[in-house]
Amino acid sequence: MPTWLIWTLGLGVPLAAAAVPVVIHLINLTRYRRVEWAAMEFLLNAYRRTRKRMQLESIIMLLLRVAAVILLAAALFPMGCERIKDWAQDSAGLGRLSLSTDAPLHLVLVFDDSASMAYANEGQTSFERGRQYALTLVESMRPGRDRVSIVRLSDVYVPPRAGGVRTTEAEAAKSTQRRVSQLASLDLDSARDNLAATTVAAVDTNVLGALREAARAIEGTPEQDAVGLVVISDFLESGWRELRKDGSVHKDFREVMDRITGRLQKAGTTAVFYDAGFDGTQNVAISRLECTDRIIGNGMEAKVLVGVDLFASGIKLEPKTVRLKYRIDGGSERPFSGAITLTPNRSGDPVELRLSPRDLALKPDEEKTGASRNIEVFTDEADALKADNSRSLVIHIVPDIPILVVNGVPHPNPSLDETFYLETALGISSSRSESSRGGETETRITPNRIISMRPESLTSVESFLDYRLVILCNVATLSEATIGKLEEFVAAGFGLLVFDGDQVDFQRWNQDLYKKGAGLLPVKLREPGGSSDPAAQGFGLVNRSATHPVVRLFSDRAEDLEILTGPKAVRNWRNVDLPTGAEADPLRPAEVLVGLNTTEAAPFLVERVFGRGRVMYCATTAGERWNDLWRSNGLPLFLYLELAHYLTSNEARFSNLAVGEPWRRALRASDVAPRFMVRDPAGTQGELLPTSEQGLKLLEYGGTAIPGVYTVTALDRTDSGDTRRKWQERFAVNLEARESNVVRLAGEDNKDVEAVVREALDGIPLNFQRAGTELGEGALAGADTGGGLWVWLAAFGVAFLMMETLWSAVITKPED
Amino acid sequence: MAETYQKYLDPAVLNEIRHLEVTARNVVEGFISGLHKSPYKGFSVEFAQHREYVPGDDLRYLDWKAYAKSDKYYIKEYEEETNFRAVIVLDTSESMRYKSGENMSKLDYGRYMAASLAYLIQRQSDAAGLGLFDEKLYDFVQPATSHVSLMRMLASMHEREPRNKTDIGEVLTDVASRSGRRSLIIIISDLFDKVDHLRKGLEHLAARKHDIIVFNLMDHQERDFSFDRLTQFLGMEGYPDLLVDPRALRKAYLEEVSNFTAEARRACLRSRADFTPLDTQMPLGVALQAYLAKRMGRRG
Repeated sequence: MPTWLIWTLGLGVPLAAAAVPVVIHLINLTRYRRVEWAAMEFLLNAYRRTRKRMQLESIIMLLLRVAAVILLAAALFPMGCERIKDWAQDSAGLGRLSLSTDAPLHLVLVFDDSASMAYANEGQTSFERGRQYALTLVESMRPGRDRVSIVRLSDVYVPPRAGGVRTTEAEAAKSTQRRVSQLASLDLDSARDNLAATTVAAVDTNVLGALREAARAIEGTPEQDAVGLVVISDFLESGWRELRKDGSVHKDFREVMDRITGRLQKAGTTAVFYDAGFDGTQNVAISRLECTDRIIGNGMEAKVLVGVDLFASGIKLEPKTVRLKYRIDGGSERPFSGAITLTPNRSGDPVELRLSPRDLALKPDEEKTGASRNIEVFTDEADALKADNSRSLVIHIVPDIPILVVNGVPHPNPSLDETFYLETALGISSSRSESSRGGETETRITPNRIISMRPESLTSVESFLDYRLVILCNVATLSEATIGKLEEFVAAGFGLLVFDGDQVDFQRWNQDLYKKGAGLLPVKLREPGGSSDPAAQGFGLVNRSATHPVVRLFSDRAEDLEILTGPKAVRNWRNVDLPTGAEADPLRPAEVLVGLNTTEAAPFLVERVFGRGRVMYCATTAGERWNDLWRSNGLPLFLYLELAHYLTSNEARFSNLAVGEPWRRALRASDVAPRFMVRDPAGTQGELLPTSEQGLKLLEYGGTAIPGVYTVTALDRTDSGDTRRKWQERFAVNLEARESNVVRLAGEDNKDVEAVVREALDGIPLNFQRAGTELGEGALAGADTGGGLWVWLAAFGVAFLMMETLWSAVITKPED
Repeated sequence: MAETYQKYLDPAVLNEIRHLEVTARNVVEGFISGLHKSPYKGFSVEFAQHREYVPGDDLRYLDWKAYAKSDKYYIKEYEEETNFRAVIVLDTSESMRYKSGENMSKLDYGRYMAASLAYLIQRQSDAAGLGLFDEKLYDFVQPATSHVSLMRMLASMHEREPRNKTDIGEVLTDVASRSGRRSLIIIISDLFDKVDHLRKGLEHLAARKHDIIVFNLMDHQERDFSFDRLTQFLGMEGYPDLLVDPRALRKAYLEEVSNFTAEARRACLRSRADFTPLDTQMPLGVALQAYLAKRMGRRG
């Protein structure tokens, strides 16, 4: 803006405005009504008594009107006022602020585009308020001279190319972590376009990361340029709590703000924190949706746990009653809960949704390939933050789960056969129960389909990819080719379960399968321990991991734990060494889930990740050769079923992702198709190109930026050249639950947002502004005015003028 | 001409007060026996009561027959049924011209009041007279019972234009001297004069044993002063104009009015006069009815 115009606006406008009340006053003195009056003596007496007071009041009123108009004018043109202040400081020899020169201004906008910014109140979202403010700032800058850098707090990394097909390791890492993005040094048109194109992301806030980006941008500004920082956010506890004075990263927050402030002070500007949020928030959120089983076999029932929470702050801190409904694959709505009264900011027990085998049954054309079902759970009414009023869960329904069991010691006598009990346990397929209508109903328990094989037959297996789990039971040795295929199989994301035994050549195993920590085997084998006497007292088991899915079943209650730890049934076991030193991979450590109750606390069940899959090692035999577990209280039935379930559902973890997490799927030979398409929840379709990793074909998709259900379709070509669907799979992407927490930032004393931010940045000058009290560009140059003082003064001025005008209504024509 | 001033005899107004007796608080002497009682007991007309003799009583009224029978001295007291004289004194100064909005002026309101009272008084065979005044007393009509007299009073009121200041003290002194015998003096005025003048005039009337009723007649706006914008007040009766924001002055003005009313009331009380503030927004009949009912109540 030209200097002469600044002076005109800054000084001329307030002065001209000041004259307005005086002129109105003078005009009013010539415009009055006339009345003949009889009781003049009373009037004259009253006038004589009150004349001085009236005159004084009149003068005060006039001065107040003048002051109010000046304040209003000054609030409308604060930049001009600041120039006047600068001029006054110059006159006093206090130096000249750089911003008051015509130096180019570099405005760094830290813009919160996290999911919670979609919170709406009276038809306007926090995001819209923030973006409007940002656009206003950009509008007030001078094109061709000034520039803008935009740092977004919550961007999801979407890999390049349509649909984000390719995800390298580095790109995958970017996608999985919350990331800020920086659009540096944009001209004003580009900044405007970028702001207009910015939408609410579905991930939470990374304030500190964004401020670090902003600091880099600010420090990179040439010395001769002015620079300003504006942080626009809704200031919710979920994103800002860690930055509070008592927060875990407060020190880092101070540090980065000190860096920023140092540079801003040179430019004569002050950091602006713009609060686009609303006070008195309330949000009902479906914060959790999970199936207790990741993979469901056709004919099985499924139990879904639904977490529903109420987040509230301010005047809306009151209980709320909701009802939950669900629908499958976009079908009809079905209620499944009564009225649930939610207490604000307190998590209740999850609500259980039971889906019957009929709900999930495969259609005839799906019986070979399986299918995925989208379970959408939602509340009966939408609230201020609609994105979390529903949540999707994709459950894979499979015809069966093929499990290859390699029997190292087959024997006609079941007690001597290595896998008889194991195959029986894993193969339990259904249970029958009395139905309420009479008769029997059959409910499938597991989808497992057991394929038994002898070790020598393994050489004929071309690939293990047709199985979901391979179990080795007391297998002496494996050929190099078989080991290679197994490594490929596990690395692709599948599971391997290894039972030890007296037939195992542990030295060969160490050599071929442990490979000094680089092989499939999670532990290094040693000589067996225990007693070979069948009558000898065995040892019990000890739970070493309370949270692991396999042993969680036994951890909930004391009597459940007793099932695991009660039996003293392990007579023999393999002594093993966990990888240490160079053999240990810190990123993929071996985890002991269950130990033996021996003095050495020998590992019993050990897990380690291999590639994208998992390997589980058990230090005893699957059969009764080294233990009497099958004669105890059913422990192996539960434990081995849980193990099989855990290891076979590894791949299904990609069915339900958080925003930004990449989806992937290994392609078996039968899955390969000429073309793969992906359709996102917005309906945008793109082609997925298969990749390969260590010889394994994979489909990967990193563009999970939008919550909802994505569909991947494999298309086959018919003889006539047309395409037809070969198989289809879906996966759900859900909003991060943290963003549902719309409780506003508050300290221990329930301070307001501004007080908490000021407390955290004690000593650092800042302007804190609330939505609705915008000042525009001038806010950058303002000193620490204590939260938009100008706005309050202007509001006072306007209120005074309105009230005074209503009260007096002085502008009238004379009456006869 | 006759039709013009007949308008002041509003049938509706008269109907409202038809069933009320116009009675004086004190008994006045009169020429014609009527309903009104005379304070002059003695020379006859109707025996009232005996009372014991006290030294100083006129021995002419001693009841010798009673003395003969009872051996005690009794004085015979007599009451004389008589008519009464009423003089209505109406203010016609310039200030009475004031009216606000759709209200009638104070003078018109006073004319209605005076006419109604005079008609009623004459209808009861009592004598009604009239005096119009501003700085001086004009057109004084002696109390009479004839219809001709009523017409004369009405014509006098009609022809009189409001002008000049008020000098109520001199006027009441003049009324006192002209009324002769004891009368009911009904003063209808806004009393916009010095309270001392009012007090002096009332004292003169009271000294001559006149019974006095003062109707302090003001416009509603004069009592309420509810102006809402900058106003130039043009003074009547020679007062200067004043440009002022009336809202700023209202409180002080109302205090002045209140003080004046209180002082006027005190002056009336001192002369045993009834003081009744009236508002031109009040229906005429209601105002008179209320007042006369109050008078009747006091009679007993």
